[in-house]
Amino acid sequence: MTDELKEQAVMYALGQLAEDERAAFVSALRSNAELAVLVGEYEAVLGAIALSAEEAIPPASLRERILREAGGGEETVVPFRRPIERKRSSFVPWAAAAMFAIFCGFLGLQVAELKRENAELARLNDPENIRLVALAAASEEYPDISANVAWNPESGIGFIETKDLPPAPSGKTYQLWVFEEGNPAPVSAGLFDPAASVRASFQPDRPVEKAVTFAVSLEVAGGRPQPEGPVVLAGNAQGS
Amino acid sequence: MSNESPQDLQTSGAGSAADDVDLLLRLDGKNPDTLGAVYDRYGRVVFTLASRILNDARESEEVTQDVFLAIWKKPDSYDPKKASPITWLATLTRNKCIDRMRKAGRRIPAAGGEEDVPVAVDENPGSSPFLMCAMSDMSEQVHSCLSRLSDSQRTAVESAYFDSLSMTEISKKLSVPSGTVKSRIRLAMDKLRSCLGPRLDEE
Repeated sequence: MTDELKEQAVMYALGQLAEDERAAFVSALRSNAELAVLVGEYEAVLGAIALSAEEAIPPASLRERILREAGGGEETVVPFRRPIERKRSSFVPWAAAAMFAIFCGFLGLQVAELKRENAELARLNDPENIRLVALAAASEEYPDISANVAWNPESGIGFIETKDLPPAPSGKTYQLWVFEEGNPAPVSAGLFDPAASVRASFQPDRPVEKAVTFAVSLEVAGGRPQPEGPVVLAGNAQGS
Repeated sequence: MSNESPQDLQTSGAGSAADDVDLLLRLDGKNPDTLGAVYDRYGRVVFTLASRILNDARESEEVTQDVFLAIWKKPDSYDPKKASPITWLATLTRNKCIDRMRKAGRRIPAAGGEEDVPVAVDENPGSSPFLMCAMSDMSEQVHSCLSRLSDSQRTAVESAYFDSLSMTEISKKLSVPSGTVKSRIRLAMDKLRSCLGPRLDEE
């Protein structure tokens, strides 16, 4: 076999042949068993080279996402629902408005239930039922960032609005956590992308008995079941 | 390049080459547990390769998901007569990365795409270097073989495979004619083929 044909075989295995060259090579491949074996061996060498890459660990949630998409399993990290609107306004009125929208989304708008919903809405939107938590910078890398969280313990729904939080670096994402009383393991409340919006609604992955701290950490894309990256924002819910 | 054993990439659920083939052949598009087992076996390998090519964690996750859902939706697409599981999945992963780069307008090689799955028929898979991938010391073997290449050969091969650089781009990078790049890559591939092959014969 000529060196030129071998080079073509290597280029074919690498996907580097131009369309016309590729068509001619595939034609030759069908009638040349020796060439087909050689291509197979070159492809095997490339497969081996793939194993030499520096190991990258996929996020734990990826397996569940794939199985969920395939029809089984469940997702553990729930992305934030996107905010209803992006216009800046004072935080509390906005939170109340968004709470109303989410509330309506949950309960539907059937006319027959409006009266009951309105009564429930009034209770949920009662300032007495919404706790405001200020999150301060927790990392020297981002000393000037801050956030506000509006949290309704009864509905288990909250809103976060960040200030001056830069977009997450490539391959990273911000993840919100809720620490509950008596449990050192926080509950994920979803992923957050300040590049898309500075505010978003959230709902922890599972019901939180009594939230004591909200925190935002910088995690690898896709998030983590438990925080592994640096905490960039944190705030005490008990002091609010 | 990492000094860690690439075998670490495959330790979860590791079995013999025959077990790996059987695992892929058990995919039927119905039982997610089988897909989970395949992911446990190859998830890191696919994600690692995608990360090396795309250099973007989020895109690598999406490609990894695409790869596993593709084999889930077309469970009979794997033909053990054509390629080992690793070779097949590596080709599938790299092609999906190339397609993604193409769609995003990023640099891509002259050809290549999802349709370019391994086509070569190995008449005697038992003598193929494919099965090297299933050996316990495959990592050291690959690194050892790569270390025997000249720097220019290794750079040319890795630029073509991982970075998807065209021959023209590699020739500029190495400041040598395109024909020289092709020769170096072919010589490197033959060296690697020779280096990886004898170990298989010992098994």
